[in-house]
Amino acid sequence: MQSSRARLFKEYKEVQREKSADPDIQLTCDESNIFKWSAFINGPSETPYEGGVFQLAFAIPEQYPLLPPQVRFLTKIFHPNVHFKTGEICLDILKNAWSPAWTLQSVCRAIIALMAHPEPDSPLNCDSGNLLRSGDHRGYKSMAKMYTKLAAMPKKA
Amino acid sequence: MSPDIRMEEDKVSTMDESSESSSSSSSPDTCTFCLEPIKQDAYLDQCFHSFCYNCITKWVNVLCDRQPISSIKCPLCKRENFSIIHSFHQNNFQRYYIKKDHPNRFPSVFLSKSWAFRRQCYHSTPAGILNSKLGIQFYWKNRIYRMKNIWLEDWLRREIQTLTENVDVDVIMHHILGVMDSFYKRLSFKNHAGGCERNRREFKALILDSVRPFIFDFSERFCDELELFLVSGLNIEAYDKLYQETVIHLP
Repeated sequence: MQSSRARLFKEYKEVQREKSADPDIQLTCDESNIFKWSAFINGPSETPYEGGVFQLAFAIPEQYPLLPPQVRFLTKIFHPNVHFKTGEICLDILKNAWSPAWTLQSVCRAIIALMAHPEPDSPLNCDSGNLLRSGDHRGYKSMAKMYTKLAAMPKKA
Repeated sequence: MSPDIRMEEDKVSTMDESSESSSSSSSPDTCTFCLEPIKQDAYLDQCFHSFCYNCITKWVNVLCDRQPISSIKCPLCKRENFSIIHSFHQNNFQRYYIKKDHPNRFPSVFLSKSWAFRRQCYHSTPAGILNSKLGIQFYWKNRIYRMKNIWLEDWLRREIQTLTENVDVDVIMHHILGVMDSFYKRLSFKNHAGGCERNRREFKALILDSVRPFIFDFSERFCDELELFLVSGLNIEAYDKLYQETVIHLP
């Protein structure tokens, strides 16, 4: 419990110190609870998510970093490995391949990498996975792009 | 440690730094678990990555908890390792193996039921559930604290281990025992019979101050638990049993 708090505090200081190090990630800690974080990540370029800003919510267990943080998308996203309704993410490093060497910042980077390289063989969003598995890349891209526009971009006045 | 191993270690760390240029400052002496300078350094036997002894021990215990294993992947490089080397003293060192039935296996205190139970008590059981069952007033009024409690050391060690999640807590334990001892000594000099409530308050305030640097938010709860354990006069097993029975009958 105490060790998780100390480590999160270290990560917080690191994030503050290197705020501009990665312009694609804006990681912030809840003001009153160090076990709740959120992040805004930019959709990677040359993907249907380009130009979108996606919000992630982190719930950190008391045993962190021995256990991984729970991360989900708050912004709607059409991606084979993200549950369309709950935002749950299927990513091995957030489950059994977790290593305490990951930090919240590097987890964000892993999620950006997952956005650029979907794994259609372990889908949480079957519609999206099926499009890719059947080779309909254009169909997947246009659906993903549409939801990026609808949910992750500022509404045009 | 031989110098060539040390070189290997440095080489690996610099590689890490170059591959993760923008990430947290991974200097060779920072533990990847707590992100602080490594305390009581412990090395994995194959890749020679080093961590705090307490940190890597906890991680091994977490992994062993899930399934029986005989090796662990290094958190940094994923190489399989079979043992942890620690406590260097000139040419001597100690080695713990991960394999379950190995004679020199890891001490897995955090896996044992007793520790898990106490962790649960502190985290999710309301305070003071034994208050009505034990004669706290009687204890202070009749100065039962003058009797030595032979189970206290073991009880303290377990509680502090649970709360700090550290194995090696004897320093903290002796510190608390010292504070208690000097308090009792002062009481025996003063000998005022009427001030038992005041003695009790003073005792708790002293203990609170002595443990706060180590267990932070749990300090007050710990003081209550310590008092209850002393008042009960029970050994650890009997005390846990009483606790468990009380928990079961909670509304």
